[in-house]
Amino acid sequence: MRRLSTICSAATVALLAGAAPAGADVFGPISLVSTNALQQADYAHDPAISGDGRYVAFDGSLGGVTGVWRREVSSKTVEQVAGGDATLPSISQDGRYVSFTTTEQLVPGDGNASPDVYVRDMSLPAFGPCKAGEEVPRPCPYRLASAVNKPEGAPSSEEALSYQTSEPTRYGSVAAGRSALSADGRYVAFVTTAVSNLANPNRAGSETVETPETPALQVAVRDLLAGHTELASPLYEPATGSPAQNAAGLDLPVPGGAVYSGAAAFPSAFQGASLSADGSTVAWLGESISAQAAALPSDNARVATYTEPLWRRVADGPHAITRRVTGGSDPASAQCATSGETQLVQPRTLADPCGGPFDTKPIEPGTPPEGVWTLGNASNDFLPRLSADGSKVAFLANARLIAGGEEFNHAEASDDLYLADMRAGLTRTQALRRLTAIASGEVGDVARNAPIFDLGISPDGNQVAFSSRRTVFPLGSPAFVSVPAAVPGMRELYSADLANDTLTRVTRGFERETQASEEPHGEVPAGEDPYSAQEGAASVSFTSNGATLAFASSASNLVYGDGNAPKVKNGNSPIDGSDAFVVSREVFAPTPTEGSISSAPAGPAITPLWRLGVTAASRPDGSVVLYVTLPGAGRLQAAARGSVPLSARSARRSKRSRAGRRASTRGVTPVAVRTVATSAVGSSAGGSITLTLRLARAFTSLADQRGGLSSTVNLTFTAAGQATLHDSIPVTFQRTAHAARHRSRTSKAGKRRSR
Amino acid sequence: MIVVKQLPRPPLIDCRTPIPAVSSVIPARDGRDRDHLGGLFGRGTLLLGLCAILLALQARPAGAVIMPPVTIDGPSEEIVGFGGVAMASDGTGGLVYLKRVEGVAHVFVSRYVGGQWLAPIRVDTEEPFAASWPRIGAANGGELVVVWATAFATERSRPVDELLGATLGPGSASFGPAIIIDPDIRDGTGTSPELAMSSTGQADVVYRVVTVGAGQRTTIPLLRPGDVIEDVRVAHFNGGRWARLGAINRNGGVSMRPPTQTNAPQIAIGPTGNAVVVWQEPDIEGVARIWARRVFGTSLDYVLPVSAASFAGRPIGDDADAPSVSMSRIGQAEVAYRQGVTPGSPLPGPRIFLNTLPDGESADGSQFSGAAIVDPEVSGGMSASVGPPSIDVDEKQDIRLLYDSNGTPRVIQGNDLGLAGTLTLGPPFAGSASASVMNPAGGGVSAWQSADPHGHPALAVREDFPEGAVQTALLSGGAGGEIGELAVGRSGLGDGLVGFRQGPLGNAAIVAIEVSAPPAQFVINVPKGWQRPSVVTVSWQEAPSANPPLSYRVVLDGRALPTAGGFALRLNPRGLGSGRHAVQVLATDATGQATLSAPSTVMIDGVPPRVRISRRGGHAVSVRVTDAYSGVDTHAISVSFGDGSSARGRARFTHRYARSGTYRISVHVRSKLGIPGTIHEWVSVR
Repeated sequence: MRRLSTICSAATVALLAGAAPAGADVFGPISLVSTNALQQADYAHDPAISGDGRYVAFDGSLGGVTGVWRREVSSKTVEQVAGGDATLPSISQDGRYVSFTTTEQLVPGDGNASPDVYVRDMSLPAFGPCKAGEEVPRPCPYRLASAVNKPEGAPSSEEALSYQTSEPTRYGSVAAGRSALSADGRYVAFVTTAVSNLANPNRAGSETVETPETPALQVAVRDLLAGHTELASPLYEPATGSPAQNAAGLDLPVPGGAVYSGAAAFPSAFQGASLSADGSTVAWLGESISAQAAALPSDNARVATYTEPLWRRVADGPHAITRRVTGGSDPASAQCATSGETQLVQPRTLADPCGGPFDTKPIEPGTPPEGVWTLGNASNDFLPRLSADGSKVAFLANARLIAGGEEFNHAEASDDLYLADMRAGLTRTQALRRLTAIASGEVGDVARNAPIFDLGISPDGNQVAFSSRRTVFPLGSPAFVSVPAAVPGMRELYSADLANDTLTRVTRGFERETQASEEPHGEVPAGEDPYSAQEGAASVSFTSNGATLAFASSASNLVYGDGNAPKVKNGNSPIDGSDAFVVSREVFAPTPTEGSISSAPAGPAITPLWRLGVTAASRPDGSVVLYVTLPGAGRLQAAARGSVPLSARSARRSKRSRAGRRASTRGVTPVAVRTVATSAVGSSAGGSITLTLRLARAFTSLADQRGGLSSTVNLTFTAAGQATLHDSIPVTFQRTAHAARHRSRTSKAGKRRSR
Repeated sequence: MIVVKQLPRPPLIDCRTPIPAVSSVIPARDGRDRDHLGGLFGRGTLLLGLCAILLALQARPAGAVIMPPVTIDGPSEEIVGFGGVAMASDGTGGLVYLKRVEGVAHVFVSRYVGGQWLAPIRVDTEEPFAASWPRIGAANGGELVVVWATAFATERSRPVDELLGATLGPGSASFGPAIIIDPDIRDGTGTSPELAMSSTGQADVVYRVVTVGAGQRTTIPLLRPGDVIEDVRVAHFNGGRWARLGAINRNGGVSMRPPTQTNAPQIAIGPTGNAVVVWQEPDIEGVARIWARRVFGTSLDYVLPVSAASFAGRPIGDDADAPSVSMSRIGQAEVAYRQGVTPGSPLPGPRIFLNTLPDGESADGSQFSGAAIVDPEVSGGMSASVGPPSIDVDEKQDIRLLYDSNGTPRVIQGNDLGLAGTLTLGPPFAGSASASVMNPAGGGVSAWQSADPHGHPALAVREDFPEGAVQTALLSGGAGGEIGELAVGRSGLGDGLVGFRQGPLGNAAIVAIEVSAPPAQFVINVPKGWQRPSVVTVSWQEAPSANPPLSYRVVLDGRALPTAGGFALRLNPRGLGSGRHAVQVLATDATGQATLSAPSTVMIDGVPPRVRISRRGGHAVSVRVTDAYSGVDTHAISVSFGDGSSARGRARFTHRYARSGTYRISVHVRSKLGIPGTIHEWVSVR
C-alpha cells in the first residue's frame, strides 16, 4: 500500500507539474522586411534588428541601388543608410544609429580608399557624403568610427585611421554585422585589417596622429561621444598578468595581430569583433593567444595560428585583462595555478587541472596546431557573439570536445555551437554548454553533420539561434522539438531556448509548419543535392526581449509572393534571391473561457393515476386481508357488509323493523344486511398497504358455518383536494375447521384455568 | 427560458503534458523502447494504467446531457494536430491527434469506453517517421480503426508518403501493426482523408493524392490557374483487411482545385458497409461541382452529379464546395454543400444546397432527387457569408443541418418529403466550423465555434430534446485559447462526441465533450387479454443507448415499481386490482437520462363474478350473476336455493319457495378467465 501511495504521489506530482504552461519556442508567420511599399529588394543580406524591434537594417540592392538600408517594420518605409559598397550593418536599440563598413568617403576626414567603419545617425537627413566648407552648413549624419584619437572630439574633426597596405580597397578597418554597435549607439567595435596608426607601439599619448605602425588585425572600440578610439586587444604581459604597456603607459598592440586572419579582406560576411549591447565587453576570434592571455609554458596556444575566442571587458579600463573564452587549456583557473602544471596531460582528460574543455591537437613537427576553430576562411560565422551584458558568449568550434568522448571520423570537418559563461569563478569546462552535436561522421551526410553556419544570441543570453542544413539534432538538452525535414534542403534557422531546454526550427514554408525552406532549382540527378551549402538562412539577430528575430534567407517560400528568386543562380553574384525577414515568438497566456452549462431538462414526468387497486384474501382465522394500492396520502375506510340471520335476541332488538316483526310473528328467522366488519387506516404516501378485516363479535360465529360468510367490502379513500375514490370487492369470512378446533381448545383451557 | 448556471465540475485529472512524459513508451534511437521512468517505477505502463484509472475515476455527473469538457492532452508544444473523433452506437469511441515524441509527430488515440476517456496510447509505435493526417473510426465493442499518412521514402528530394491503417480490436490494449492502405500518396499534400466506419466494423476511407502540384509541370491543361492534378481515392476495410478501390473521380485528366479543407472529399457509411462518397471536381465547363458515388463494399457505382448546374433556368458558373454527407441506416444519403457566387450568378448570394439520394433499393434510388436551397433566409446578398454545412440524417430520413449564416448559427430540419423549418441558434459563430448530430427521436445536437461574453474562444453547444426542451453550454478546455479543428463522432442515437484542438499549435490542448441523448424508445410486452393478477409479467427489449448500463423500472398506473435487473418483471398480485392498468417501463442510462416507453394496457381479472340475490314478490327470489371484467362463464354457474332445489347454466335465475322460511342460497360461479367463487347468502321468505 505504501508503494502504491508513493506511486500515486509521484504521478500526482508529475501531473501537476505538467499543468504549467509549456514555454518552448513557437514562432508565428514569417514576414518579409526587405521590401518597401512598392518593390522588393533585389537582394538583401546581413539584417540586424533594433532592440525595440521597430527597425531592421540590411545591406543589399533596392531598385538597383546598393548599400545599407533601414526598414521601419510596421510602415514599410525603407531609407538608405549609406550607398555604394556599404555592408554589414549593426543597429542601436532604438534604430537611430546604424554602423557599417564602406570604402566610401563619407566625412571630410576620411581620405583613404580603404574600408572604414561609420555610424549613421538616421535622425539626420543624408545628402551624400558630408563635405567641408559647404555654403549652407548642415549637420553631418555620418560619424567615422575607425578614426584616430584627436583632442577635439567634434565630428567635423574626425580623421580616419591611416593604413599601410598594398590593397587599400580591401584592407583597412571593418566592423562586424549585427554586433558592432552598442545599444545606445555610442560605442563601435571594429578590427583593423591593415597596418594602421591605431595604437602605435611607441606612441607617446592617447591623442596622436602618427604614421601607421600598428600591426594589422587589432581590435578597437570607438567612443563616439568622447571621440576616443581604444585598443581593445592589448598585448599580454605574462609577468604582470596584465596588458603590456609602453613607456607612456599605453597598451601595446599584439605584434602578429590579435584577430583571426581568415576573413580579413573586405568585403566579407564575417569580420570584425563583437561588442556587447551595453558597450562593456568585446569578443573576437583570436590568434596569437599566448600574446593576449595566459598560456601554459608548453601550450598549443603559444603557436600564432592557434585560434580561440577571446573576451575582454573594456569597461573595466586599460588594465582589464583579456580572457580565453574556451580552448584546450585553462591556465587562468585557480586549480591550474595551484597545480604547478606546465604541460597538458596526454591523452587529454577532464581531470587535468589545467585542461580546457577541448582537445586541441598537440604541436607536432610538420603539422600546424589546431585551435577550437580550424575551418578557415569565411565559410562559417567564427565570430563569438555576446549577450547584452557580455557575460555569455556563443561561439562555434570544430575541435573535439573532451566531454563528448571520441567523435565520428571527420568530425573536425563540421562545427558545433557552444555557449560559455564568463562569470568569474568558473573553470572553462564548467562554463561551457554544448548546444549541438553532430550525429554522423559520414562524409556527405548533410542531415547529421552539416556545419552550423552562423549564430546569434539574444540579449538575455537565453536564446541562441543558428542556421544549418543539418536536420538531426541528437542532443536531449536542448531537445529538438520540431518536425524534422525528411531530407536536408536549404539552411534552416533554428533557435535554442535555453530556459525551456528546447530546440525549434524557425524557418518554414508559408503553406504549413512542416514545409521546408525551398527555392527554385533545376532538375538534378536522383540522389544529388539540389542545394549548396551557401543557400538558406543566415545572419540572425534578436530584439531586446528576444521575442523577434531578424534573419536573411535565399528561400523563396517563406512568405507568399517572394518574387526575387533568380532564374539562374550564379554563385559569385550577390543576386541570390536572399531577403530579410522577421519572425516573432508567440507568447501564450492562458485565456480562460467563462464556461457554462444550463440545467439539464427534467426527465419524463410520471404521474400516478388516481385510482385504487385492491385484492383480498381470506385467512383461516376467519379474517380477511385487503391489499390495497393507494394513489397517494389519505385515509382508507373499509366496511364489509353481508346478509346475516338474526338471532332471537337480535330479532327482538329489531322488532321495530318490519322484517323483524314479520319474521318474528311468523316464526321465521329474519335475515338482514349488516356491516359485519370495518377497518380504517391513514397513509402518508401512496403505495401498497395491508388492511385486515375481522368480523364483529356478533358475527364471528358466522365464519364457522359451512362456506363462511359472504360479504362485499366497500372501500372509500379520501384525500384532501382529491376526488373520493370508491371500490368494492367480494370476500368471504371463513374460519377453517382446524382454526375452529384450535379456538375451541384455547377457549376451554381458559375456562379451566378460570375455575 | 434557459436558466444558465455553472454545474459543479468533476475533479478532472489533468493528464496534460505529463501523460506521455510520465507514461508513454518512447522509442529510443537504438530501436528499443525505453521507459522514461523505468528506473524509478519499474515500468511506465504501471503509471499508464494508473493514469487511466485516474481518468476513469472522473465520474460523469448524473442527469447531465452536455458533459463538462475533458482535456485529453495538453496544453503542450508537442501537440501538433487534431485528427478527429469517432463514436459507435454502443457509446464507445475514440479521439486521435498528433503529438511529437522526441521531435517527431506520432499518432495518439484516447479511447472512450464506459463514459470515460482513457489515457492516450500511441498508435504508430513501429513507425519512426513523422505522421500526418490521422483519422479515426469506431465500431461497437470499443473497436477502433485509425488511418494516417507517413513519409517512407524520398523521390527527387521530396518525401513520398504512404497511407497506413491500424486497428484496435475489441478488448485490446494496443493497436495492431500498421497496414499499408496506399503505398504512394505522393508527398501527402492535401491528402485530407475522411474515414467512415459502421458500428459493425466495416470502414471506408476517401483521400486525395496530388500527383502534380501547383506550379509543377504537367501536360494536362489546367482549367484554372493554380489547379492541380489529383486523384480522389477510396479504400475499403472489411473488418480484417484493406482493399484499395483506386481513383474514383470522374476524369483523371482534368485539373482540380488546389486542395483545401473545405473542398476535401467526404464519405458516409451505412451499417451494411455500403457507403456514399462525395467530392469536388470540375465539370466540362471547368466549374467545380459536387459529385457522388455509391460504394458497395469493394464495388463502385456510377458517378452521380450532386450540385445544381443551373438555377432558375440560368447556369451556375461558380464553384461549389464544402460537401457534407450523411447516410441513414437504410441507405439514404443526404448531401449538403455550399454554392459560391460571383457577380452575374443566378443565385441571390451564396447558399447551402441539399440533395437527397434515396436508398439504393428504392425505385428512384439511382439518382439524386435534385438540389435545393435549404435556407432562403440569408441576408447580405452577394456578399453574404455562408459557412460549411454539417449534416446528419437518422433512420427515419429526418435531417438536421447546421451552418454559419452571416455569423449566425442556423439549423435546418426536415426529411425526405421536405424541409420543416429553420432554427436560429445563439451565440454567434466565431469561426466557421460546426458539428451537427441528429436524434432519431427528435431534436439533436449543434456545436460550433463561438466565444464567451468576454470574447474568449469557446465551443457553443446546444441540445434540442425530443420533447422540445433545450440545454445550452459554452465550453472550453482549462487553458482556453482559440478553437482549432473540430470534429464530431455520432452514435446514431443522438449522442455525439465533439473533439477539438484548443490553443495555437505550440501550446495546444486536445479537448473533448460528450453530449448524450436519452435512451431511444423501446418495445415493451404485456400479456394480451384478461389476466389473473398472479401471472402478469411485463417484459421489454433493451433500450438503445450509448450510455450503458441502463436500469429499468416498470411504471404501473403512473407509479414506478421496484424492479430488479433484467428485462422482465412479474407484477406483485397483491393490490393489483381488477380492471385495466396502464403499464410503461422507464429506462435510465448511466448519465441519469430516462426515457419512458409508450404506454400499454394490462387487463387484470382477480375476482369471481359478482352475485346479486334479491327478493321478489311473494316467496320468489332472483339470482343474477355478472362480471365486469373477463365475463361470466355461465356454464359453470350452479345455484342451490336451500330448499333442495337447484339450477345451473344461466346467469339469471328466479326461484319461488314453496313455503315461508329462512334459506341459505349457495351460488357457484366462475369467470371466463376461470376465477371461481361461491356465495352463500341467507334469505327469508314469508
